[in-house]
Amino acid sequence: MSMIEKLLALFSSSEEYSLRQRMLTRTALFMCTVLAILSVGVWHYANTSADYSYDRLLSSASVTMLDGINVAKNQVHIDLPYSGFEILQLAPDDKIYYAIYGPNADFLSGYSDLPVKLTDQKTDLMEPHYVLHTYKGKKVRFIVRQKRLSERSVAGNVTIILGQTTLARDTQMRDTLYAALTTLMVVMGTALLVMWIAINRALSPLNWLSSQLNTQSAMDKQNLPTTKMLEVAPLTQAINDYRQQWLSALAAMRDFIADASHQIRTAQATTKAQLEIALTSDNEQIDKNTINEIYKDHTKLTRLTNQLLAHATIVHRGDRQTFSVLAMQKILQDVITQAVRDYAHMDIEFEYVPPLQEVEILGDELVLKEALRNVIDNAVQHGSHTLNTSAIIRISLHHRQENHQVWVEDNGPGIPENMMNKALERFVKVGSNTQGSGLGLAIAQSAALTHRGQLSLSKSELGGLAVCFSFPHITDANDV
Amino acid sequence: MFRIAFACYLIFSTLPLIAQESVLRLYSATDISAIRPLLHEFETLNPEVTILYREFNTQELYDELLDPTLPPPDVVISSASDLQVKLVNDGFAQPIEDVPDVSSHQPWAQWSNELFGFTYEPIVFVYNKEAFHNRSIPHTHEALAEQLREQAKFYQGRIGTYDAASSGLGYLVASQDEVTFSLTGRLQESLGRARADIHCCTSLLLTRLTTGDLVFGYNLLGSYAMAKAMNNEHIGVIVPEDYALVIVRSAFVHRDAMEAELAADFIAYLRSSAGQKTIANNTALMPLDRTLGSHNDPENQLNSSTNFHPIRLGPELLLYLDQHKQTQFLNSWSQALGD
Repeated sequence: MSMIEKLLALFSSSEEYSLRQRMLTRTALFMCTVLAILSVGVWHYANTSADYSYDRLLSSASVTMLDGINVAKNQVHIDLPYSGFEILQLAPDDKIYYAIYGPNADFLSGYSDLPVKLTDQKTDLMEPHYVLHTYKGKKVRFIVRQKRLSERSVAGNVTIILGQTTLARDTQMRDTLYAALTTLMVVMGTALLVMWIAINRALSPLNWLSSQLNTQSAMDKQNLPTTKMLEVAPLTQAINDYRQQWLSALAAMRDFIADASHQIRTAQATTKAQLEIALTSDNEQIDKNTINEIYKDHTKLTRLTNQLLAHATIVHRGDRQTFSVLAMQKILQDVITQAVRDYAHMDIEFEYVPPLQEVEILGDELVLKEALRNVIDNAVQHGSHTLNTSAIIRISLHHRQENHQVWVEDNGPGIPENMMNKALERFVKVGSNTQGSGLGLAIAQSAALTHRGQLSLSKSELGGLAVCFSFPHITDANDV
Repeated sequence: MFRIAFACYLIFSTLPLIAQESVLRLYSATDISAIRPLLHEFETLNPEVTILYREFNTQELYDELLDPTLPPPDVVISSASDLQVKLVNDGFAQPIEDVPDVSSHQPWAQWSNELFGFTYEPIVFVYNKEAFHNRSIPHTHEALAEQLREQAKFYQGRIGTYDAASSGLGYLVASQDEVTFSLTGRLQESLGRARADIHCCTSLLLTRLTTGDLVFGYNLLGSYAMAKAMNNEHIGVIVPEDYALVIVRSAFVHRDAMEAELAADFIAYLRSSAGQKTIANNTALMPLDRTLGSHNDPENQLNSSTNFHPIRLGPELLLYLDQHKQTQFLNSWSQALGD
C-alpha cells in the first residue's frame, strides 16, 4: 500500500497535471488493487475447487478399495476391485500409490514406504482425512481411510492410504484460475475503456468552452451560445455575467474619460485664454481684476480635477468592496469639522443633529467622507448667503426602522422637482450657479450605490435642497 | 520355474572408434530378431550412434531394473505393460517431450508423457494345420471352451499356453483375460482338464506347434506367431472373433539414462511414420498405426471386424501387481491349470 501512496504523492506533487491522465491512472491503480485482492480470492477458490473435485475421486476410490478388504479364513483378505483403479483413471496422467495396514498396524499390501503416518488405531476414525506429501520426488495427495472389521478372529480397523500425484488437480486449478483471471482482466479492461470514454466525454464541454472563448473577442458583446448540458449551463451563464459586468464597467470608464477630458480641456482653454489676454494687453502692469479672473478659473479647474480623481477613486474602490464597520457619528463629525475649517471665511452656519442612538454601517470610510464632503461643498456652493441672512447647512443623522439616513440640507434656491433626477448625472449643472463642476452629486450617488444604499433629493424645510443618503443596516447589508 | 536368461550383448556396426560416438543402451524384452531392422534404421539415421542392445525376459527385465546389476539403460522396452506401468509409477522413468502421436484416437497407447506404446500386437490362437485337417477350427473363446469339453481327447496334453507364473507377459494376458471375459474361469478349468502345456515363451510354444507336439496354442503373442506362420506352412494363426486382447509394446527413458536426449529421439523414432513403416514392413512386430497393417498378415486379420481390446497403458494395470491380488490370481490359475 505504501508503494501506491508514494505513487499518488508523486502524481500530486507535480504542479501541472492532466486531469484525464490522473483520473485514468488512479482508476487503473485502484483496479489493479482490486484485481490483486480478487486474484487471491480466485486463487483460493481455484485451489479449493480443484481439491474438492479430486479429493472426491480419491475418496470414492478408497471406499471402493476398502470394499475389497474382508475377513476370510481368519485372515484379512484383500481382493482389490478393478473399479477402484478405474475411478482414479479419471485423472489419466497421475500416478497412484497405496498401502493397506491391518488392525495391528501391520503392513499388508501396497507401498510400505509411504510418508504418511498411521493414525492411532484406537481412535475410531470414521472420517477420512487428506494430507499432501512429497513422495518419489512428486507432490502426492493422500487420503487415509479406515474400515472396521468385526469378526471374532480379526477385529479392528484396517487402514488404506491412497495417494495420487497432483498433475490433473494442478491443471484444473490453473485452468480455473486462468479462466477467472482472464474474465476479471477483460472486465477491468472494459471498465477502463468506458472510463476513458466517459472522461473524454465529460471533459469535452471544457474544450468547447475554450474554443468558443478563443474565437470570440474579449470585448464581444455577444453571449456564449446556449448549451443543452445542464451541468455546463451555469458556467456559461457565469462567464456571460462576468463579461457583461466587465463590459459595463469598461463602458462607464470610457464615458467618464470622455466627459472628464472634455471638462478639463474646456477649463484649461478658459484659463489659457485669460492668460493670453493678460499677456497681449498693452499695459505693463497686469490688471488685478484679470489675475482675479484667472485665479477663479484656476480654482475651478483644480476643484474639477480633484472631484474627477475623487470620483474615479470612489468608483474604483467601490468595485473592490473592502468594507468595514464604521461609526457614522465619528465620520460626520470629522467631515463637518473639516468643512467648518475650510469655509471659515464665509458666512455659513453649520447645524449638526446627532442621532438618538449609535449608528453603525458597513462601508468604506474614505469613500463616505469624500461623498459627504462633496454634498456639503455642493450645499455651500448653492447655499444662499445674502447680505442680511447667513447660509444655513443642516446635517442630521437618523436611525430608522428600515435604514440609516444622513441628511444634508441648505436654505438655497434648491432644484425644481422635475430637474432632480437630472441633477444626479455627471457634469449636469442645474440652476444659475456656474461655479460647480456638476460632479458633486454624481460622486455622492456613486458612493451611496456602492454601499448598497440610495441617494435621494427632495425639497428641504429650510427652503433649499435636501440630500438624503440612506444606508442599510449592517445585518441587511450582510444578507445581500 | 524361471528360465535361464539368455542375455547377450549385441553391438551393431563397427565398434566405436571415434570419441564423439555415443552409445544408446537398450534393455528390452523383445526378440532381437524381431526388432533388429528398427535398430539398423535408427543407426543409419544417426551415424554417430551405436546401439547396445540387451535382451531380457519381461520379468527378468523388471527385476534387473529394481535391483540393478548392470549399468542403467537409456531406454527400457517391454511388452509387459503392467510391469512397465509399475516402473513408471515408481519413478523409474523421466518425462520426455515432442513424441509424435501415431494417431489421435489412441490415448490408451501412452501414459502421461513418460510411457509410450509403439506396437499393436493382438493375442491370438495358433493351430497345427495337419492336426486340424478336416476339423473345425475354434474362432472364438466360447467355441474353444466348447471344443475342449466335447473333444477332450483330441486336445488332451496337446494344447499349450503361456505360464502366467514365470512370464510377465503371460501374467498380464491371463489377468486381462479375467477382466475382459466373464467365461475365463471356465476356460481355464477346461485348459486344466486338458492338461495344457505351459511355457514361458512364445517361441518355444511355436516350435512345439510346428513339430506337432502341440495342436493348439492359446493366448500367444500375435506378432511372433504371424511372423512364424509366414515362413512355416505347418501352423495357422487365428485372431479370435469375439474379442482379442492387444498388447501394446511400450518404451520409456530411464531415470538415470546417460543419453537421455538420444533415448527420447529413439522413442520419437519408434512412433514416427518412418519407424512405424519399418515395423510394418520389416519386423516381426506390428505397428501401432493400424492403417499400415503388417507384411506378416496376408489375410489382413489385423483389420478385420474383430473386437480388438487393447490393454490401456495406465495405473489400473497396477491392480494385478498388488501382492495379495497376484498371489490369489496365481493360486486360482495354478489350481485351474492343475499343475
